[in-house]
Amino acid sequence: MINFEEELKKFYPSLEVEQIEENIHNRDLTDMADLMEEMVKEVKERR
Amino acid sequence: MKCNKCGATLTETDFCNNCGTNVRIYKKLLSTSNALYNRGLEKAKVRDLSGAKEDLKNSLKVYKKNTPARNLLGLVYYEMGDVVSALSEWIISKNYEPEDNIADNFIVRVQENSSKLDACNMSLKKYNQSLLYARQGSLDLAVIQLKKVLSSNPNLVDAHLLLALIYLHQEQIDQARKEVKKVLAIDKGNVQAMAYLNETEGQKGKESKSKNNRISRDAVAYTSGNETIIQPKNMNENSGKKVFLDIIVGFLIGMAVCWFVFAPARMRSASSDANKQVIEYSDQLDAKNAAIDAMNEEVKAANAAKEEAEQKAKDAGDTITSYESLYAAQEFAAAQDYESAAAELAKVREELLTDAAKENYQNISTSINAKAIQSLYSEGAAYYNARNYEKGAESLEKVVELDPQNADATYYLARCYDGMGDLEKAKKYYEKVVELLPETTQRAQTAMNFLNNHP
Repeated sequence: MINFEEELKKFYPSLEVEQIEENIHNRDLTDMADLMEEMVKEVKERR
Repeated sequence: MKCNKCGATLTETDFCNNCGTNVRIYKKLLSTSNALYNRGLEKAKVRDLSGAKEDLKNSLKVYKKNTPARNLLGLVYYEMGDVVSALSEWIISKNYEPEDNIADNFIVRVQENSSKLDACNMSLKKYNQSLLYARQGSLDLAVIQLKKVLSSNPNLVDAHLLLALIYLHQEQIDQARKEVKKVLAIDKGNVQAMAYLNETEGQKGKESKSKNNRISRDAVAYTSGNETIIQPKNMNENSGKKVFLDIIVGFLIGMAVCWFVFAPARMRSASSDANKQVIEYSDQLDAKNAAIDAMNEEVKAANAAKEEAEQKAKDAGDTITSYESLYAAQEFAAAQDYESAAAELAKVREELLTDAAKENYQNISTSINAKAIQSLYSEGAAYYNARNYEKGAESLEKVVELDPQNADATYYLARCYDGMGDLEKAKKYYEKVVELLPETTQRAQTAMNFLNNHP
């Protein structure tokens, strides 16, 4: 049996055109390649 | 594949030939990202858009500059009606790879059709509004708004899903099912839609089960050939009583139909015939009345003619009588019986006589009347003097009748009645005496004295 209130929580407001720029700027675009680079950098610094 | 440090093209070795950086892990990451992209592409090809979206997102988490993956993710968003997310992905993609990027083409095509972009943007705003309505509990408003959203942006999967969820909550299973089917037509792998579909089928099953239970309680089902027949339990198809009852009911219904459908027409027809007959009889009656009136007129005319004839006959008879009386009067006058002569003259109708006879009548009448008056007056006076008032009054009445201006006769007549004690008649003739004689005369004085004494 589906719980209406719980299911409703799964829906999020959609982005509007006016929010594109803000959305792009605020988006966390960090990927695993970035993480890897940071890790390598940290290791090098420790040395 | 290019080096992440210097951008030089990498070879099969684990180090960059240009800058010497160890690219083994980097290559592994790119390979993983590409593998995820490939899986997403395969899923997108079979319209498993949700699955494709997840794989492509993961691909971009591994390597954000995987432009094909980002562009495809934008396309998936676009296909699911989320134009803004699609544009975001394509803009980022173009930012990472400004040259020879298919995202450029996508952005231009979307921006060229500005009215559609506006419509899509408006539909997304309405979707957000309906989500707000749904969270506030205004489900009817949310449904109205979502229907508007889907009319302008029919591929917006989230709107279909939200509408399906509301329908499920309102137990409008068929409507919910329709919406879920639409979602699955766009996105075959949509897990949420599948869950809702299961829910609709579950509720549908419950409904049909309860319906079947109702049928089994109220009816008997059996198979005849290829057909399943559901029959009410209390129905006994071949019952003699039921057949008889059906015939009676059918007969009554037939009678009712005849009464309500055919009877009014027949009654109208009969009424029309009766009216025609009434009019016909009325015309006949008028004609007969006219005939009766004409006959009555004829009868009246005949009666008038008859009366006229009778009058003429009477006149003729009277004429004869008048002539006979005139002749008799002449005979009585010759014999000096003036009273009888006067009586005969009284029977004569002067208007029936010829002119010559009239002249003769007037001469005789004058002569006889004068003589009769004289004779009667003498007789009456004699009776009065002899105190025989009755006889005197009788003679004098005749005188007064023949000569109403005869004051002497009137006076003695009054005296006779006075003597007889008939005061009313005495008074009548005394009054006449007062009229005929001057006041100074003795007789007038006597009359006035009487009248004064007997008011």
